[in-house]
Amino acid sequence: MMRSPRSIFALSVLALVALTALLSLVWLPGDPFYADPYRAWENPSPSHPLGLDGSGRDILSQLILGSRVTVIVAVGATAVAGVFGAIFALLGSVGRRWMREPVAVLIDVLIAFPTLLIAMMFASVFGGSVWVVVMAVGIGFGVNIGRVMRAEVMQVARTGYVLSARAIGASRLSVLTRHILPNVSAVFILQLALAMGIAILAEAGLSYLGFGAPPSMPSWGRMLAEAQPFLSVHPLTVMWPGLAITLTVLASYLLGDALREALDPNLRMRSNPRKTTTTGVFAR
Amino acid sequence: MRLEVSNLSVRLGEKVLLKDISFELESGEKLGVIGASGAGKTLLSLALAGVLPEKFETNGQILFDGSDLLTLSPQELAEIRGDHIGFVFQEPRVALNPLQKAGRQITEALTNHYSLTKQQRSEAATRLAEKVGLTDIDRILNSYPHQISGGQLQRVAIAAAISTEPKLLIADEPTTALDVSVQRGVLDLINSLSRGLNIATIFVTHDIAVLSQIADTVLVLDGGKPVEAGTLAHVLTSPKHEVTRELIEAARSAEWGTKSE
Ligand SMILES: Nc1ncnc2c1ncn2[C@@H]1O[C@H](COP(=O)(O)OP(=O)(O)OP(=O)(O)O)[C@@H](O)[C@H]1O
Ligand SMILES: [Mg+2]
Repeated sequence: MMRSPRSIFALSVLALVALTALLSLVWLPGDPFYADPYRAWENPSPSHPLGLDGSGRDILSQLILGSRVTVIVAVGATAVAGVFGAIFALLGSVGRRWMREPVAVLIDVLIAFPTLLIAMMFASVFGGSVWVVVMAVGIGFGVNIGRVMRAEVMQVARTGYVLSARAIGASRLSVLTRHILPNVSAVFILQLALAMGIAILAEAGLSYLGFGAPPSMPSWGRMLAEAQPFLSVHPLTVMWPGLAITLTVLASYLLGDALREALDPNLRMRSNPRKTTTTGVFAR
Repeated sequence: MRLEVSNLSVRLGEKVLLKDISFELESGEKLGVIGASGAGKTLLSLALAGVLPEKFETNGQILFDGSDLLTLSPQELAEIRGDHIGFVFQEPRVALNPLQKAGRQITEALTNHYSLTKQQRSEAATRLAEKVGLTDIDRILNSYPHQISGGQLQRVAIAAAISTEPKLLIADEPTTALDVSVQRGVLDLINSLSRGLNIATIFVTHDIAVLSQIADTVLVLDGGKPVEAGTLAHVLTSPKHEVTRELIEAARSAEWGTKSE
């Protein structure tokens, strides 16, 4: 099911990141905080395999320690986004009749707030931290998921099989659990994978701007931000965190794609994608 | 079973989509509803099944064994649907859940209304599949809809609709999506089921040729209004309304068309 080279690559990269974060709890190659200004930008050597950064700190140790933030943000923000998105989507589509429209309007209003603005609001109240990133990206992208999934649920709710399930006396709950949710799960999972990629990118961006992890907690985004002004002179120093971010984000997108195909027999068999009922009666 | 529909009207805002539909139907009888595209046939069958979206406003009476389907509570309605009223849709591919195996869907109505063990459920699925004339049953019951042909799927849908031995079967153009040879088989199936199980049938179609193979009585719709009603023979031999004449004419020229080929 998940044997394609693409999914093997994606799973390997993500597993590597997760294992690295676990490893950082028990072992680091050196002290990531020990700075030796006289050895700034030193080239790779046996004791410092990736070299030293502009403050003379060991890049490999920082990279390994920084994976923690990536994992926390990826998992945390995705979970928050998933929960928020699911709540919005369900209330706005199959919730009580009177709340559907207001929820749709609320989604439209919230979508106007960019993740960055939410992060700035949180950061000004709580100070910059990993949790600010988790909540900001979680809510910011959760609203997006809510909008996509709401449309998705409403589309499936108009299909013939939902209609015919109702016509043969299925309860609202069983229509939801047996017909609607399984048919939107593939899109939901894809959205979660997107959220994960976006969360990792956003952490880099927010840390760069100083709303993310505090200096006491190295992250790939911060490493990138600190090295970026010296890109032309010391490209390797920028490359390591850049490569780590790029690979992880790419892997999460590829994983989402592979999961979606594995979950949706329609896509898997390349036959008809989901169709809505042919009658005009259920048109919006 | 006795179904009495009187002055059934469906409106969407100011627009009247169905106007004053009235007819009666007893066990074993087959009513054919016919009309051109947009005449309101699908709307009528959905209204009878009680699954019109909430934005449509329904008036009149649908008496099913004396209880008015339009005034029942959702719970009471859910008990009747699927148990006493079966429903077959125009397009089997649309009417079945793409993510559930056929066997599971054949017994969905049964499990909605009765508690069955897994064993009983799979026995029921096999028995129903035999009843609707499916072959290669084990494979089909374990397949997803996209792995099954259209004709087989429509039989699956019909098996699902009759699983609870309903008293009334509503079929909205169940053969339109199928090719002619398969069509014939499905029509024969519905005929024999209605005879064997004494089911009352409401059969919707736009094709007089199909209608003449199945209906005892006929209701002709045009623009949401009933324009003609009567026994099949009567409507076919002495059509009173222009629309009916046109439908008969269309069927006749289609027949000639195929013969002259
Ligand atoms: N969602 C809708 N909103 C507004 N009007 C609708 C809607 N659905 C159907 N109608 C109207 O109701 C009329 C009847 O539609 P219906 O689907 O019942 O036709 P039909 O007789 O089943 O046609 P066909 O043979 O093409 O299936 C149509 O002319 C259309 O104008
Ligand atoms: Mg129709």
